[in-house]
Amino acid sequence: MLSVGPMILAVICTDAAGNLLLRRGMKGGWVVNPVLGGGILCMAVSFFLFAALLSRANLSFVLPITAMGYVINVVGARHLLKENVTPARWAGTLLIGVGVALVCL
Amino acid sequence: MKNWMVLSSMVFSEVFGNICLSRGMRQIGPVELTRLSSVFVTAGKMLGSPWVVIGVIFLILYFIFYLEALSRLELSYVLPMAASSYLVTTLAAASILQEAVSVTRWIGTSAICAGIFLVGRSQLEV
Repeated sequence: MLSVGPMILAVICTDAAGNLLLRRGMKGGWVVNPVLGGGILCMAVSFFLFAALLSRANLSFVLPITAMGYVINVVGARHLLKENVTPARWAGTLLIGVGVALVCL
Repeated sequence: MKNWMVLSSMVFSEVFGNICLSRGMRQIGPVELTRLSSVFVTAGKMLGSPWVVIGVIFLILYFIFYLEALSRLELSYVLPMAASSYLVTTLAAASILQEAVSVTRWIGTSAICAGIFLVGRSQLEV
């Protein structure tokens, strides 16, 4: 039996990956390309896991948790893409993290 | 379609879609995904539930509106709507789905909303 924790992690990771691919894939507009296709596939998997989560937990709990994807985005941007992260972005990210922690309580 | 129509359709579709999906999945009951066979069983149950099907349709609509918004609008327009959807969804979950939402959860959701807005704004400066 799959517990809620790993499921949440899987939803967030596939959602973050999917979003990244989607943003890159949509740059040229509505053009069929593999990046867009990969992004859609990731989102499909993420969605299925999200639906499975909803069978076990409240929407008002699950949805805010998925906001952790924004935190992963920033961490990934800093460490993988070596982007310079502004103080405002860190502040916003911290706020999201605090918010998620509060929702978990 | 005008920009504001795309954005408000986006938020409405997302909220309504999530509400219906949640209702449908609740009716199905706790889902098992331990084996590949259970994945297909779950998919089958989802297709058989009217609430889930309606929810999925609206979430697909949300997805289309979202992509359209991304392709034609600046992030400064799309992000606040995306951020606010967390609060709107929680509100809908509390009233329509009768979910018990504690004060802590409301505060947390509001913090997330503000945080997403801040993150969105800061990305524009890059």
